[in-house]
Amino acid sequence: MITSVLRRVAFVLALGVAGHANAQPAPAPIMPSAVGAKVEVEVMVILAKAEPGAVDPRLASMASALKSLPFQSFTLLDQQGVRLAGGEEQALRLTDQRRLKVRLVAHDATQATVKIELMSGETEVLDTTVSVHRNKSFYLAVRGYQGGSLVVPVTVRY
Amino acid sequence: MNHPLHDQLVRVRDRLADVGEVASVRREVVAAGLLDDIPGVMEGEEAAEDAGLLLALWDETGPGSSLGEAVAWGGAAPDLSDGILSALFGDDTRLSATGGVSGAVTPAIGDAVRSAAGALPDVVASVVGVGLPVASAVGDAAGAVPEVAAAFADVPPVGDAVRDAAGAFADVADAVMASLAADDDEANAWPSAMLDHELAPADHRAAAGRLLAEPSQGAWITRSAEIGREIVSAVRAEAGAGPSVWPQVAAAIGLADPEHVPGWVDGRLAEAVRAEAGTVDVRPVVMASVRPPDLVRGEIVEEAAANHQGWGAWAAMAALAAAMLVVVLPPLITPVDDPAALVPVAQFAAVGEVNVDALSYAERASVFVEVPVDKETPLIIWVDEGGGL
Repeated sequence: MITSVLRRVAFVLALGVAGHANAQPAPAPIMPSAVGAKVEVEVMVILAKAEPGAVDPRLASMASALKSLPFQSFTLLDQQGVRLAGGEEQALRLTDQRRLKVRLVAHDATQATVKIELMSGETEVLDTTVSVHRNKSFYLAVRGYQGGSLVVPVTVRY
Repeated sequence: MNHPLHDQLVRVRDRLADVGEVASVRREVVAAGLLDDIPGVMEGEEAAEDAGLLLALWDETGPGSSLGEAVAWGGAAPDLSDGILSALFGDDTRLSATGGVSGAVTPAIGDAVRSAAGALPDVVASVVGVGLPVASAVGDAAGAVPEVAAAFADVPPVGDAVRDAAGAFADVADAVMASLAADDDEANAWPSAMLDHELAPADHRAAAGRLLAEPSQGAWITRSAEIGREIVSAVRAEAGAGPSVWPQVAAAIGLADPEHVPGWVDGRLAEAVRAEAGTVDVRPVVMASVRPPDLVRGEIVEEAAANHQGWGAWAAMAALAAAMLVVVLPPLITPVDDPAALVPVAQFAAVGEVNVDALSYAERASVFVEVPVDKETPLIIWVDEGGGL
């Protein structure tokens, strides 16, 4: 049963996402206004573990977001940022083996669209494109690092 | 190998393997994870009964018995003797390269096998009913067949080898239990029941609607599924595949024709084993063990049309598109080039503020997107890189 459930996980996702799609019409585009040419994409690298432990005080202001994750200890390992113009790409190092390629696809007064590629060695593990409101973040969570997971908030600032 | 006795032994071996490899921890959990990967053998309620039978068999031989562990360790091998040899030698290329065993007899190996197989006659041989002391025969075969190689003289005794190997399973099972908590509330079973098409049509539609409203439940289901897959992969990776040595074993125990066992009555073994072991339904225990504790409780009350879609297993690429309500908020900071105005910490985008336009991932990776359902939860793209990366 467990394995068959896994095979249908994407179905669950499709249900969940499609459900939102069905429930809400696509928003009308918002015209840009007073938008700079570059966007700063900031990436934090957080080691999260399920075992009880401390929350890095530098992450205190993120407590409400971290609370929703299935972890009990959080350590900020790194924080990096790159400034990208439309179409530009840079790679950020997450760990010795993992890199995050970030490309700014587009941005306007409301949101930025970024293309994210997670590389493990030379293997592209994940390739995703996300549109996120300016000055807001979304999270990557990569299982299996030093006995825990890497939680990687990606923020677009402009 | 189509001989009924051989087939029956394989079945007994395989099922013991399902139960045996986590004897020291939560074998029910691993059994549940393996049942789904034995197509055509165990399904539905029959699977639970079969698993219960194996559990009883395991208990019969003793959770710590070297027999059970040795047989379990050889779970991927094509027959019982292969299983035991696999427990001893793993994927030794000297076996696979020759298609059989070769070399001189190593008395220590024979002793080890005999020691490991010692409990088998109590459980199997007595029910075979043909005067065939299977375990002793296998043990003798291992010690007497000249082709059992001196090349294996350096392998540890059965017990040590199995115990060493079992450590990996214990780690996996520990991880399982660290990730999941027991919960025996049947009301929480509806997501799994829906995904396994075990609900009545009306309930299925209601459950689908509820999943639409509570997509975060997919995360829990996914985690459980991933753990099950990992266990299966780990078990298979560790057990490996052994060569077929049944012809040698059959010859060693005096069978002129390995495909013919005098006195064999088809089905007798299974009937006798069941009669001795009884029936144990482990499904409630298993489900209680793997069910996450914070699934939404209560009856299914929402009615919604099921948007049922098929999904290919381990697809290399999946595209997700979602259009969400845009909540136009005033800018939180002044734009661009004033570093002093940068928001000091990441404020996650809530529902309506983030959208996954496209997503693909490596074939061996697992990815799921936990979409925000309110202003208190972020969008999270969970990534499991998979063991092969």
